[in-house]
Amino acid sequence: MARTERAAFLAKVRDAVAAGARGDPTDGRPQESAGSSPAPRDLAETFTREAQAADCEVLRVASIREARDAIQALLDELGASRVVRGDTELLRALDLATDEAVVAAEADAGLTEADFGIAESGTLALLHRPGQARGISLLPLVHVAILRASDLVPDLGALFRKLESDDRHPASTLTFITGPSRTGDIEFVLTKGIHGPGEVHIVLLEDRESP
Amino acid sequence: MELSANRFAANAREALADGELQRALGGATQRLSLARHDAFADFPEGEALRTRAREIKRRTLDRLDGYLEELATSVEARGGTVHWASDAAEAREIVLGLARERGARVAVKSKSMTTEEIALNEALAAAGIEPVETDLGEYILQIAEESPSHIIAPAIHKTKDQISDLFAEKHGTARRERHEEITREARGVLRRRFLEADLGITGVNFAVAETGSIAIVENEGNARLSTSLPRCHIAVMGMEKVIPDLDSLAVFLRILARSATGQKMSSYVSLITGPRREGEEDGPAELHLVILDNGRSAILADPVLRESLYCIRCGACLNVCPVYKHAGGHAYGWVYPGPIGAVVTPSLVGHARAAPLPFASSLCGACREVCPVRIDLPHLLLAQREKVLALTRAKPGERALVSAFALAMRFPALYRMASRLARWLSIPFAREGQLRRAPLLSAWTRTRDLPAPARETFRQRWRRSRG
Repeated sequence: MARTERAAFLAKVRDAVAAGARGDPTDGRPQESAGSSPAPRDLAETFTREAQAADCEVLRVASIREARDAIQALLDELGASRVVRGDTELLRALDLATDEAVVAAEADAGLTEADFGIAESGTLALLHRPGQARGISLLPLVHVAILRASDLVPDLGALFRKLESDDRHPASTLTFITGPSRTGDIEFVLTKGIHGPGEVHIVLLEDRESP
Repeated sequence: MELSANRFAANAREALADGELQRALGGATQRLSLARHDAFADFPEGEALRTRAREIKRRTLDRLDGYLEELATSVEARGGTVHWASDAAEAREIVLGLARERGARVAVKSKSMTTEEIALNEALAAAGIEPVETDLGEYILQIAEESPSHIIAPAIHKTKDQISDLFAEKHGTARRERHEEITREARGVLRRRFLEADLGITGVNFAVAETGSIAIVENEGNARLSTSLPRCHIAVMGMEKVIPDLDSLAVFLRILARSATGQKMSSYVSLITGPRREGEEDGPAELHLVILDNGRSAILADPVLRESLYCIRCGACLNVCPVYKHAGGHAYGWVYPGPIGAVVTPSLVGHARAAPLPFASSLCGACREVCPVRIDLPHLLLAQREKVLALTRAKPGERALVSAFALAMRFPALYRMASRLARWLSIPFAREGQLRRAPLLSAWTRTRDLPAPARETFRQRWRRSRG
């Protein structure tokens, strides 16, 4: 079977575009501004409320030390002994006792640093790259994410504009996470953890100093 | 998927007689439409975003060839490979070819209507490659050997007890009673399939021309697994899924989940720009994007129907449609159900093979009200009716009626006379204010009531009450 070439495919599309064109291809309406809402007064407040509404647990901490204690207490409480974590400066600074040999597929919990948070929807954004593997926030049943309040943006439009000047962008994959893995496929009963984590814990770090 | 759109009436009758299905459909459509309503009630900028989304789609389709070219160039610049498929057979051949070259034996799939459209699973199975559907609803249907009934909730017609029995039989495990236990069992079974799979096959919600990124929207995480674990990711997209840039993507993502399930964002959105890069711990080594025409260029070439390509497959029009709510997805007899299905199916499979679908609507307009990109579905249904009628030719009686009506509309005196005459002629057929059986109108009155003409015409009443 002969394969359709790009040029032939596009030529057919071009003909269809012309054939179906309306009389008035130019539209007089002014271009509205980007898909963005006014910035909420307090991003951390909005983010926390929306993430909770999406079934995340949110812990607000004021320092790295507090973050470390909160995460350690959480992992102990969950009985998560096999923890896999990403490799970012902040995660290293937490200095948690994790076992390097644990792989994501066998871990009880995955610990990541979210690169951004979107206040409007309580969403975490992770730019995958070395040190920010896909599987950590995906394969274990529990996902713990630390997020700096300074990485919060009001909405998706604002995030994409911010990424324009970010040298990690475009990442091979940018994952947006809003709450746990969920399904309603059986009788519309919401059930968590069908494929990804059934629990998402967010540690929101509102410190003034950097590590 | 076998096409049975011409059996719409029989399919719908079957659905109406199925009490379990009626209960499930009623519950599902009501929940989803209420959730959508609440999400937009709480979102003041939603209406402006819908208008903006529509404009983006219109502008993109008005120079679709240019955007597709830009998309292909960007995808390739990021290390992906682009394949062009003019029809379903070619798309299947491309995927099968890739699978064979890699010696693939198992392909995990995340929910994709486009791969249903090209009947990919059947082709993979015939070539000895096992396709595994991994969306829970799709997985249930696959092992039950049934087809999806709703865009968003494919297995909504099955009860928990039926699924418990099905899992116990197919997995050879103890029968699970609770929802959590059933889903946990599916997680375990499917996780093993993800880990052994050679290929991950997905659809595409949006493809961003400027960056060469594809966006996949989901709640379960199976699309993330399909695009993270296997060595090779193959994404299949209808060519109308391309959008210009990330700013446009933000507009669509902010209305898609709200329209589909009432969520502000779905649990997961993956924005994939090429395969894994050097130093990354995971992700597929190869990314292939199959761009499918399969009848879409004919829709694009139609100035009226072009609008149906704006669809972002949220399912909102299904949930508010009085016909869909009772007939269910299977009645439409193919991949795309509901009002949007009734519009696109005849164009994609041929009007003669889906003739009843454009008529499976009361033209109430509820679909147009909720469509996130404001597709004028009733208008498009009428356009498709014209095309079907042009094929089948109206009966002589119907044609005479239409000609007489046209004549009466041109001459007011004739119209006055005819409306009085209609009342006198209808008296023998009227029962309790309804016409139940009337010559020439039987196609209508067989399945619907027609109010009998009132004692006094509107014009008479207007004269009386004003004078």
